[in-house]
Amino acid sequence: MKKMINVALPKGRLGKKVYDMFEKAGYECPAIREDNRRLIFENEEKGIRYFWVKPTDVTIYVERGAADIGIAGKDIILEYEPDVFELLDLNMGKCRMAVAALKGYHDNPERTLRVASKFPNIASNYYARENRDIDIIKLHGSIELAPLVGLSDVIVDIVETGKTLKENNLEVIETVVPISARLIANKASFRFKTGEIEAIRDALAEDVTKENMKEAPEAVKTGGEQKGGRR
Amino acid sequence: MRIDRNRMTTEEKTQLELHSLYQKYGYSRYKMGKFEEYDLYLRNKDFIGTENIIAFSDLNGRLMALKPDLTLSIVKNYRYRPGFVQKVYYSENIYRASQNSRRYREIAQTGLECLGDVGLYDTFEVTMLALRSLASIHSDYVLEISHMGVVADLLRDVETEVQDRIVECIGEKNIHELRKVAEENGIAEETIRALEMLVSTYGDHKRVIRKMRELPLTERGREALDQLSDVVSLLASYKMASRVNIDFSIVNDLTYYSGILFKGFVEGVPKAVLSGGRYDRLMSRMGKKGGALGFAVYLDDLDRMEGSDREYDVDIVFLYTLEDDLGAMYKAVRQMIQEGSTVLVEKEIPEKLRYRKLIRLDGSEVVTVEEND
Repeated sequence: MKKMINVALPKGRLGKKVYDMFEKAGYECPAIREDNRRLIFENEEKGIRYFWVKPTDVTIYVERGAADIGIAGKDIILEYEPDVFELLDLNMGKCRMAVAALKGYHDNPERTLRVASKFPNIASNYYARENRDIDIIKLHGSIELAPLVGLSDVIVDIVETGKTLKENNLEVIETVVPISARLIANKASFRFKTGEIEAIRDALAEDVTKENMKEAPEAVKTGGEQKGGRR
Repeated sequence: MRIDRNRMTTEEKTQLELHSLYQKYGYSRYKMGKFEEYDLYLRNKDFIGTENIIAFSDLNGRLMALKPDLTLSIVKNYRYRPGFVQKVYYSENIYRASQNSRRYREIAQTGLECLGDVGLYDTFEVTMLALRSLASIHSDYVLEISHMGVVADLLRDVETEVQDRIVECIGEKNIHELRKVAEENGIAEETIRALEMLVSTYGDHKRVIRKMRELPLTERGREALDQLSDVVSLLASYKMASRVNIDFSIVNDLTYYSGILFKGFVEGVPKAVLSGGRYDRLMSRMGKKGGALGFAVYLDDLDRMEGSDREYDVDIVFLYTLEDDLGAMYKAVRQMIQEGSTVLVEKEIPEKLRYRKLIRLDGSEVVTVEEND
């Protein structure tokens, strides 16, 4: 008998796009498209069970084995450093983690830098590599406000189009790391369901390659500018 | 008194089975205290992989720690005798911060170590004992084996910092990131291809080793591969290799680990329950002669396995009143216990208790009030 694979999908637009990919790859579960409040959907014949979870919780479900595989943004993976396999870059939900500050901001290295972020771990690791002493301020939302009201000198946050930054007179100073959605797997599940998980990975990889071929000329045209799609 | 195994938790049962297994192969118990000088962990903080240690000063003002690791203490007290291998096993609690909840946890760990002039037979023996340890936990298990010598050989010309990042990618089976890091740091295309092959080839030992022979390895890497192949072939000749996988994504810090590495998984537990390997570099860093290898079994997650739940909390609840004949009551209780039941004597039925049978005294006769079977 085929072993059931549990998939943690991130709620929201990214999750829907990811499900489309799974469907195209042959792991459909039509009930998921119905408009209701159910959280679990399964297709026994295909051996797959999906559940919707909060995007920041995907790594927790996968690391603890409640889901065998899941889709998580690289930002979440870097922030929580879960002990999981990262099997594939889905090349979607692309954006970047960046440092931003008020336009014209000049960094004074003699002072401790105050950094506001939803991602304290990523921010600390980044500045540790830069050898910069920082005071990290963990916020849960409206990060852009922090430098405007003097709470922090800079922010470390996800930037897609840069529109919010622009409207608030902020600008990107540096890119910390590019972000996209990744396929992750529980390390124990991978051992017991190797064939099934590999099949899903390979089917998704094929789709990613096809999409890349389509996107490639466009990327040249826009000078490799990152496209939106997240949030 | 005979001990009824069915009433033990999986953790207790496994612990006893492992002790008996290790004793059969001549390993002696290494009993340790809970405290160790903090300095030991400070000097080797990458080995234990955590900086969160419970520290306190003892009455002389020395800074002490509640042990976050047992191997370091064994190595610290080890004395080299040429030609000998010291074989010990331990079973203690360690104290570590859990990564997610930011709290300290007490974790039960049982394991073994071989220290000294470790040879091929010892490596085989430890691998075999790792397999049998997993078998004693669950019938569905996998032992993954890898060898740091192969990874180290492929990364021989790469700077340490980049090495660490690549080793991390290998551990995540993260091929896309691996290529990116390698390309950014000017690693040769041939090496990148070799690394990608290393990450994407795993499973059946014969196939993996055959494939790995194609890698651009030097003498050192080929020796590592030979050692791996020797150990697994020996297991195979005793029909013990069917649950052995070779998987080079089992990696560990290159500064401490030099040889064979293990990770063991059982069905129903979401992370590795067994972990270990050969750590000669730790020995030399701590100024000890000789080699060393060993593994630890993490017992704290085992109670979550299926089938470890009992149907009833107690077999029989014996309800009594103060007017009952206590002598007759104890006589009946003793009889039932001798017959193998567990008996709880109470005046009221405890809330939420699951029991098989409810009884009470009627005069000197035992009568059944309720039966749930």
